[in-house]
Amino acid sequence: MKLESWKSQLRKGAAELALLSLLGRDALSGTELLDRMADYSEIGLSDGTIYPLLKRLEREGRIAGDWKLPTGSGRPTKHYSLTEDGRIALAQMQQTWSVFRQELTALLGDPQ
Amino acid sequence: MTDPERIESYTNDLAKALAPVATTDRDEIIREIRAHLEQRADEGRLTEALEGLGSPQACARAFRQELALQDAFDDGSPVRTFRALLANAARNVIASVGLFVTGLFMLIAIGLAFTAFVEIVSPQTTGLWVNAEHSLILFGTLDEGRGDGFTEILGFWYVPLALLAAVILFVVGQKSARLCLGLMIRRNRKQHLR
Repeated sequence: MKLESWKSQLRKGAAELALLSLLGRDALSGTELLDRMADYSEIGLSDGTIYPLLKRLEREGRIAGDWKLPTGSGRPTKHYSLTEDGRIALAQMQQTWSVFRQELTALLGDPQ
Repeated sequence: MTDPERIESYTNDLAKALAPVATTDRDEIIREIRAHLEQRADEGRLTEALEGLGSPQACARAFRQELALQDAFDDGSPVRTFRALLANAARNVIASVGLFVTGLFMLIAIGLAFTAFVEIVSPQTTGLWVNAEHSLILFGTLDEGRGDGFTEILGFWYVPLALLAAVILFVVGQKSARLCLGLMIRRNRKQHLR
């Protein structure tokens, strides 16, 4: 039970960094983000967690959403991209993460 | 039940569960969740998507948690601001302090407004009282016999002045609450950046 709570805390920050990082490369919809995250289940982004997170990031001005009709046929989907604030936040988070990972790896040792 | 019916049922229930959220946000959330479910239905993965979203109530709760502070701040109404502080007071120091300060201002404002009403009904016992001998100033109601040595100095002017003071304290209380909400939002953002 305590492990789950710890993992939940760990995932909260990681999921945000992962989303911003993916959006730093391409403008993507929630569904596309989920598909790209499908192989990274430990980060814990699911259909139920991604949209509230996207909504908050959009409200905070780090990402911007735009409804687009796909070329040809299909339904309109909301695509997200990083704003300038989002790019600054991503750069800061990446730098922090890099130092954090180095320090923790040094403390824990390389798992064999 | 067909896929379109399942999507319709889910989004209808989600809309109900999102009732406390501002209409523009709610409509945008429903539109996006509907688009998500329709795309997954096209891929034959609707059941998986619905399981991933959880119940409409759980899905709505996740949105409300993410948006609650910002909504209360944007809305600006005293009730929503107070409720947002109350909801976070147990786990957030700024919310606890904000709740205490705001509560104090509001209680004094209510007390002043009440004494203004009592002044109209019972002008002999209510007002701004001064005791020159002991350098004491009191406002409110003094029971008959307890006002020895006190002189009431405002008369009927107590009513508009007490009401004005009540309004000022109410506004200051509300501003304090909004200041605390703003600090909490900024602090949350900084934590996400760390």
